[in-house]
Amino acid sequence: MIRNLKSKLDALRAEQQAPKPPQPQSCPEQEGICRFERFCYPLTKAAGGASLQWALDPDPQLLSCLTQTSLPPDFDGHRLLYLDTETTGLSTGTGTLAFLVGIGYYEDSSQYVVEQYLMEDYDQEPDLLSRLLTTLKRFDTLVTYNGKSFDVPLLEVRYVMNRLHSQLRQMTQLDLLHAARRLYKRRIGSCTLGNMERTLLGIERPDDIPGAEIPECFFAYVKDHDPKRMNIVLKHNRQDILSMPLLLGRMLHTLQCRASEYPEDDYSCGRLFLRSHQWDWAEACLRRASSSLPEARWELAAYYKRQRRWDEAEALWLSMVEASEGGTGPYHELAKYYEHVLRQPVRAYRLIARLRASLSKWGVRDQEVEKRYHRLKKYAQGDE
Amino acid sequence: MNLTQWLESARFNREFMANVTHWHVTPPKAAQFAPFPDSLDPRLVKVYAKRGVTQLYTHQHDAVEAVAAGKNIVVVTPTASGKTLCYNLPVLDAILKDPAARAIYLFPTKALSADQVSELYEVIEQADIAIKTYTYDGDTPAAARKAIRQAGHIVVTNPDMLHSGILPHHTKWIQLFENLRYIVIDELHMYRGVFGSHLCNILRRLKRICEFYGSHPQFICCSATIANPEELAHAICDCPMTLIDNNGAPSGEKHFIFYNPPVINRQLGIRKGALGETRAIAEDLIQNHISTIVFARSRIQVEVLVNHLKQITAGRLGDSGLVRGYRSGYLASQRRQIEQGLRSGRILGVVSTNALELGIDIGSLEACVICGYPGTISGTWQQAGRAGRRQGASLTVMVANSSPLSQYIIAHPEYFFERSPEHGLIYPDNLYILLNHLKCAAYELPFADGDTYAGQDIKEILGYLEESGVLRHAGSTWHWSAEDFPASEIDLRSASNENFLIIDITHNDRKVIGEMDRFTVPMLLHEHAIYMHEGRQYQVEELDFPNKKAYIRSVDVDYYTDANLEVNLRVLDVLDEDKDETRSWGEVLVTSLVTMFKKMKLDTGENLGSGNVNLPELEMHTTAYWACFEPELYPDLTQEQLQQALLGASNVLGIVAPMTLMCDPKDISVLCQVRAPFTGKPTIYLYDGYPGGIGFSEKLFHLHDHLWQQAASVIGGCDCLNGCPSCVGPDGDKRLTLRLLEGLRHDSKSKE
Repeated sequence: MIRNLKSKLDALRAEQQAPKPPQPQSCPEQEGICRFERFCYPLTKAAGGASLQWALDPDPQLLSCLTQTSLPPDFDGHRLLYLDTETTGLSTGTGTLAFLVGIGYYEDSSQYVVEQYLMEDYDQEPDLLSRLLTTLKRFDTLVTYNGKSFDVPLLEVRYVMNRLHSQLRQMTQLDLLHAARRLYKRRIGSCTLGNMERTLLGIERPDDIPGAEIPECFFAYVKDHDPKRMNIVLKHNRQDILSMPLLLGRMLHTLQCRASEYPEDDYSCGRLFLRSHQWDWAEACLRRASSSLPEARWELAAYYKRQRRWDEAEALWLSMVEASEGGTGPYHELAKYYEHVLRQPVRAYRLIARLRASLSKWGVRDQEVEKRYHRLKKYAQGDE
Repeated sequence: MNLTQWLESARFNREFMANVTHWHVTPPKAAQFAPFPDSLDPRLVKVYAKRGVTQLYTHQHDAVEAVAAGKNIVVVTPTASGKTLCYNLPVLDAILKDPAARAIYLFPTKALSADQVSELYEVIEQADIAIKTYTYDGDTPAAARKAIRQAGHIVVTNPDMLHSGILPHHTKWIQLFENLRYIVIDELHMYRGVFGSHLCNILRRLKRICEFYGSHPQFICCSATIANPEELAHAICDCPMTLIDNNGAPSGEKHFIFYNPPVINRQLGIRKGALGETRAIAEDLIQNHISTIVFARSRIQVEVLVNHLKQITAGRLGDSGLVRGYRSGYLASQRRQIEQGLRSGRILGVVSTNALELGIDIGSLEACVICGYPGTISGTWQQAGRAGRRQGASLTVMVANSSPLSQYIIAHPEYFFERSPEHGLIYPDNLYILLNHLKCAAYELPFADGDTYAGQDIKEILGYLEESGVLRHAGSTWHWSAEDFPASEIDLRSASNENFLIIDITHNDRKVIGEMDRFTVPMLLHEHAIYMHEGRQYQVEELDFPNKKAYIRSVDVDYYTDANLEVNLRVLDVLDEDKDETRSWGEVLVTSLVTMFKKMKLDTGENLGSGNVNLPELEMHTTAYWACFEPELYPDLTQEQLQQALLGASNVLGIVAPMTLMCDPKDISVLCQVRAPFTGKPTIYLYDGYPGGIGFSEKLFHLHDHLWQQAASVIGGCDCLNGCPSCVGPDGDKRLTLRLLEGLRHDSKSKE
């Protein structure tokens, strides 16, 4: 096949004068067993006003709304297992490994336990995975941050590669990233865990390791077992596991109070409750938000329309017209209301004609407005 | 006139016949049928009966039986002979009997896969069976991908997607790999050279993964006519192959006319343009309502032909739609339109480059006109295969252009008709290619101590990869230990991973329109070069060498550029040679440097000036074959004359070697040295155009005698006075070159 392979390889490696890697220290622990660490936190531990206590006993209805996943009414915070991995790359291909898996759970309503499973070399992966599996089996709901698209699929890949069955498919998946986006994207924008920690919980991580450096940290660690940098990674991972229940508690609290100091949050809650068919809660949130946000007024009006609460809807649309908000939308809605519900097509015509005239004063021709105008024109016969 | 009458009248047309160098007639062939094998599920037989297929052709029958017997097969039959059935029948049958069964269909391009999938859909719908077929390629929307992974019975894809989208994510495809029964590879002949070498390695990785999941799929390959289909299939799939080539499809009488445009300037030996002659012939056929397809060499030629033919077929309202141009890149719906038009007779003429050379079913036309020799025998047959009805006559006219190869073929029809078509050659163990795929394999499934790859011990390579930092040996396994995704670093169509991007900046948006391998870039993409892409002219405005990008702008000029390439060659290792060292082959280092370029007027070839090129010297490790000449045999020749003779011989070899190897002329390059540093004697080197070598050098070493006989016959048989491009070239001398060749024969005689 390849003749003189050695000389060819030498030629290829001519440019690479990599120093010989240091010999790995032989670990006093048994071979093939991964490293395991356990930490306990009191429920009073808090950040940004949210404490670990808050997610111990989540309201199942609120949790369902937040995660858009149906949960039984007797749901209990002890069923939740929080999980976060540190990996050797960003792809979920077969060459990426989760070298560190951190988990967290509430124990006996008295403390929050964080456990970490760390591979110190590749041959410890089967042990890591089977220990993790034993733990997974004790819970039925998994909570992650962006885990649905990354951590969980990656772990599934690892289980298949090691020819082990995984429990992951059977567990309910709650991804807090999507929940955070539903509530805070409008106001805060970027919903990375770090940003959520900073803005909602007031947690700063000085001396934290940037995510991009973590894989390299592991590749170096398996060769030299120098604990310095790996300890930083372990700390980083622990913080992730701690922040998740704190964040969850905060979000549930927001949904519980339905009275935020930020109208954008009220609005987001309102929309979320609409999606979950929690009408009363939705209305309460949207009403609060509508005092400052035009889009909340619009959404609330649409809600009233669906409920056939015409007076309230009309009042909102009129106020939007008055304040020149919402573009041509409120005009169309009012026109439809006048024409089809009140059966006063002339009134509708007048309104649209007024709109059309003021648009043309600005040199604007709107297709939808033209359509409606020309349709309603026939009712103008009497008027002109 | 119908075609038969047209042929009759052509025979009596003195002017036409004066330019015909050969008129080949293949008698008609009756269909050979065989029944549907009993083993097939009756539901399947019923569906095909409803589609009008009540019996099978012999080759289809044999294919189905061979697959049922557990064999890996390669089916070789010309176009439009129903080869699709050869794989659809066994696959659908297997799935009907076992709904868990899975298959992968591999096509070289997306266009082809789209066509095949739609045919499968039709059959499945008509049969009303729950078989799911999906295309999984770069265009598949993300939302659909998960469903396909879980539920698709037949996954239709291409080598690129298999390589970077499926294999490195194999755990998401458990159902597929656990139950994989068949791998169908269509258009196998396309997988030669570099592309084929990559595919072979991709399949090695695929088989490794199948073993992990416990499946042992069978291969069903389809190839156009090449010299060695069984050998190629065996090399690519690495398993024994059964050849199925008893084509049972019928065909009418086939006429093949070789046409050389007449000489219009005796002194300079200039002939009438091939494009004009092609146009005239196509025009005549179409005006007689004979359905015709025309193949031209470039997009510009296609456009010129289409425009003219549209003009002459225009009705009172303008474009009658009787003539259509055809391009790769058309949507499936547009292609469908043209196909239907051809079948219904609404479209009479199609003009294309070679997009249709691939199996897209446009139905059969009566006539085919080929402008310029397509470059390979098998390629020519594929184009000619577009003409041919089940009954009645069909015609192909090949019009030679001025390229040396065209002129040779048109003057030597026996070469074309009697020799077998090209060999498919691959070299999957090219070190660059192998190493890259081994990295992918290590990424996909860690190698354990003692594991082999392609049946070879790989411990050393794995050790090398560990030293390079991508693998780590822990326990008894080699683990992937890097952040990179190795599959994305490989281009399946080149042997190096250092391609340059060609970026079109004409319209203020930067559009990547192509890629070029690093070694060809200085020649074709130096600054101010005129670069032809798909028949359009561009000028290179900027070549960003460190970032591997070339920026080009569309232009319309009347000249082309030709870069001066200085090539040097150093022998690194001799792998085999004769005792008297007349012939050898081995590893070489080729360095090339471009320092200047010339501007030449398009029609007259007049020199309009030159320019400088400032680019670094490039190095390429590859393999070469070389022939030495003993100076003592030529006491009567001066150094200059020896030089001339060598140049002449080099020119001929540049024509003859690709013909002998039956490869693409671009794959191989020639270099001569009057006193080569390595041999100390006059030497001619032929080196593979790809880093790592692609197997041609070794082949030429073994075909040495034949090669030189061919060279002598080309020179001897050439009509020119002295030094035409088709033999010894403008720098050579016929007499001197033949004298040089005599020395070789003398050598071989003295060996006996």
